[in-house]
Amino acid sequence: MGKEYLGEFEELVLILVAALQDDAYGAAIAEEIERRLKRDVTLSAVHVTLYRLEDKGHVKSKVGGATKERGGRRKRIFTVTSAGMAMLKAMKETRLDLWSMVPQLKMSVS
Amino acid sequence: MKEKDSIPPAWLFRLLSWFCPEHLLEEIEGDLFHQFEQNVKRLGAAKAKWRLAWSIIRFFRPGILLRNKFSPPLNSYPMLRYHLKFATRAFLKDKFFSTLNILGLALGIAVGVILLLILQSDLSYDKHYALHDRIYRVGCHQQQTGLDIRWARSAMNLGMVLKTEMPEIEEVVRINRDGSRILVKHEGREGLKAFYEEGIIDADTTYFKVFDHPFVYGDPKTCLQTANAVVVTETIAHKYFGSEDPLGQSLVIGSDSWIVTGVIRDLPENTHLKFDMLMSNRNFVEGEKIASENFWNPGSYLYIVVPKNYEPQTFHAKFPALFDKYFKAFSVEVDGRYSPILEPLTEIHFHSDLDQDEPRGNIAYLYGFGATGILIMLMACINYMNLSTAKSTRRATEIAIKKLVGSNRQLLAISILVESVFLSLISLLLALVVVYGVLNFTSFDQLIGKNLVFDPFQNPELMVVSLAVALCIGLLSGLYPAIFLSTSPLLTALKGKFKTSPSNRLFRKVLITTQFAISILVIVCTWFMGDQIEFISNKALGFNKDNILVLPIPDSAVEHNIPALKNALLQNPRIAGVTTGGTVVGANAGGAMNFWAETSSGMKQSGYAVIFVGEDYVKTMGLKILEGRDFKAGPVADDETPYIVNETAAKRLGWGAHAVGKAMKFFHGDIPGHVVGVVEDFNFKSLRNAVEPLLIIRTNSESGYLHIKLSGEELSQTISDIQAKWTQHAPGHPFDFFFLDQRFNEQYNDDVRQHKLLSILSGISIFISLLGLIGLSAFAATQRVKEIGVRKVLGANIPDILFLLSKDILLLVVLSAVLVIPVSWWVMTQWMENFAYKTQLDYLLYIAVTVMALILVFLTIGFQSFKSARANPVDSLKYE
Repeated sequence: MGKEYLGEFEELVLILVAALQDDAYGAAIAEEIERRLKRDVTLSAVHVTLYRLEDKGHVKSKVGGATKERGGRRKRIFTVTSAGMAMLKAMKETRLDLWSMVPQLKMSVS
Repeated sequence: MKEKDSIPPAWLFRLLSWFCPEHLLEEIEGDLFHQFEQNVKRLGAAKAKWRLAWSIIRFFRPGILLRNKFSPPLNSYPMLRYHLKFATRAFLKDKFFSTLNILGLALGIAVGVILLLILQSDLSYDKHYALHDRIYRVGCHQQQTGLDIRWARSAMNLGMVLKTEMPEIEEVVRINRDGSRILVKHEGREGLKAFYEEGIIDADTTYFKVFDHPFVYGDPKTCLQTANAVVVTETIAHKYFGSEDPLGQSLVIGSDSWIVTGVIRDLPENTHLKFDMLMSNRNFVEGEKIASENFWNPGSYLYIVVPKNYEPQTFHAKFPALFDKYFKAFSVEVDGRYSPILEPLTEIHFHSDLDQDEPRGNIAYLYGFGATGILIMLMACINYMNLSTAKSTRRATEIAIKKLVGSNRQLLAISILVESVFLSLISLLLALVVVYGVLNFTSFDQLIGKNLVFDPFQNPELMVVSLAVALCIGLLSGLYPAIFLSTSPLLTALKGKFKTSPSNRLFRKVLITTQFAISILVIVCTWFMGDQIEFISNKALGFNKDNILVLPIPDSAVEHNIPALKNALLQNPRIAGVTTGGTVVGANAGGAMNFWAETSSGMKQSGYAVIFVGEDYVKTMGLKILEGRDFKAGPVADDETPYIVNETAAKRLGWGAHAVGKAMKFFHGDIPGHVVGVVEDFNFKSLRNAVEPLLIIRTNSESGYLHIKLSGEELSQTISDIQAKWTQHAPGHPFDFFFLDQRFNEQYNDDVRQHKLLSILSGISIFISLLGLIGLSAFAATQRVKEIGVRKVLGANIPDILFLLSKDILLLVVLSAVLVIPVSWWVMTQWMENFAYKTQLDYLLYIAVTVMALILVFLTIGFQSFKSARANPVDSLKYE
């Protein structure tokens, strides 16, 4: 467990998969990143990241039904696995721990 | 409009599908679609398309590419077994087609393997010498008045001073070859053995320091140090000494006795300087003051060993100093210019263009054969492609079923490739057997003038390359069928209605045309070549070369008896004339010697070809005197030499019709001479060259060659009569004669050989094309069986149907003949550049060859079609 890390972009994508739930597929994630973070991403980067997360066991995927949009192509919907969820939580907690060590922040909060 | 714009271009998706793994393709395409639709709304269609293209290109990254499953590793071995199983079944199912295919491929590969052997031998010339990359041969380019020669030889003396003048040169060796046949005798335990030997050279004592040879007996360091030492090859040692120990034996070579001090292994085939006996140099004089003129006499081959990384430029840079010291004194007299020519040892065989050289290879022929061989291999591939695509209608069902049970396009393509490679590997085996047979049981060796050794186990290169050739041929010929068959539509194929597409038929026509174009090209070239060889062999040479028997005069003792022998021979009514000549026309006449000749501006010196002759030469050889007279009978006076010149010489000197009486003198000679007659030009050299200025000089010496003109009747009787007289007047000398016309035509041996080889290749090429046609027409006939039936019912007769079945291909043959005209014209004019005397390119030949091809094709097709044409229409139509 301790040996696995997530890169910044990986973490981002993983959180979005968790957030978007049934709507978590490549294009939607890319769109979300662009909209919320004002950050240009290429579709291929998102896809590659998703596949890597799947390899690592943080997400799993299944093919959704065909729709008339998307030229009739089916979507691949990603969901976070429990291992992925645990990973996210662990990362969040270590972040918070670290944040609590920053003095300024402590002062402004108190 | 709007609708159309919002559809992404399909080709971009096709681009993606080329590199994107199949299992990811759909969702990625979907996402791209999604993004594209968003972009169209946001940015407009044009920009969206650019974005799409960019996005797709960005998918070309390892994270995506590496997810391709190239070959499922667990699955490949059993699959290969299945492929092989199917290949064997297909092979056995249609034995006729398989045999055609294998025959074609095997012939193609066999040609390839033999070419490879030839190439291997030719490209390895002289590379077996350890120092080969540091040995240069020094030739010369000399210009004097009336003389411009580029020779492979240099003066003996140059070799002597070279090492002192250029100390960086590590070793120098000079080699002389007499060129004539020398009588060699040995009197041993097994009695007297005497033979004429041609492979005799003499060399400096440094020879074995430059060229290393494996020694059987003797020591390379010391064997040439003693006087009168000779080193012989194993074959020679065996020939003269049998089982005796060769070391220390004596050999009488010419008139002197020599002691054998070493025996080397026979020289390999691939060396430009071949010899059987090597004598230590007799003429080696050191320290003597040499006349400048001697440097201008290039008589010996001169080889130097240079240090590593030596630049030949250094040699040329240093040469002017040497020139001033040795060459200059004489250059003033003859207005001479001299520059050395350095040739790397390994390039002599193919790239030297100097005169007075050893026989060498012709790289143009090698290219020619390489090209022909490759074309033939290509034809074998074309056959395979044609046959398997034509057959595709039969295989379509098999392919369709395979598709139904889940095979994909890739697997199908692989299985078809496996099949073609499988066939080509079988063909390789057959080809190797054929090559072995050709090299061991036919006189192919003599045909190509080269001793090829086919020993696959000693020659790993050959094995690897021929395996590669077979694999390439297999893949190349399987490629098109693989693409074509694996895309056959499933449903039509299952219904049994699969027909080859028009584009496929067009492609097949292109292939057939190519094939016939190649065959016709090769045949036309072979034919032209034959014409030219015929032409030069039969062209009137200006002298009578028929029925002249030539006997070399071995030594001065025999020379003494020549007048008596002549008289004895002339008693024979079947002998029309006897004469002697210092050289033999067509064999070794020519060369150049310097003479002074009278011109309008005083005596002028230039080089001439010379033949020294005895009595009755002009008459016996049938030369035609144009002006003046023949030499007088009887011995010539000591203080006056008579000359006969040829037309070209008279013209060159500007004598016009007043040649008789003009003064001539040998360059060094004191004896004055005059022209007594002019003969019509005759070809004393091969017809590759135009006639050069020639002097015929009458001498009292009877050395050289005895020329005996026979009447031509009862030849064998006459020859044994001559032999009886010969043994009487020249006891102890072998009766070793040749006929002049044969010797003259031997000059074209190379061309004749190439022609024969090309004939074989053209035979193979037409055979391969016809093999293909047999298959195609057999197939076409079965395809059109119903059409034929209907036509017959409607009243067509057999010739109609034969014509129907063959007209398409006949048209293609005519087309290919037309296409070939410019190519063959170009090839043949290039080749004819070799000859000064050329036959006309006859355009009727194209027609003849085309007609011949048409007839062959028609016969081939006709034979196949005849069956279907004759079949009773009831049989073919009753099932409909």
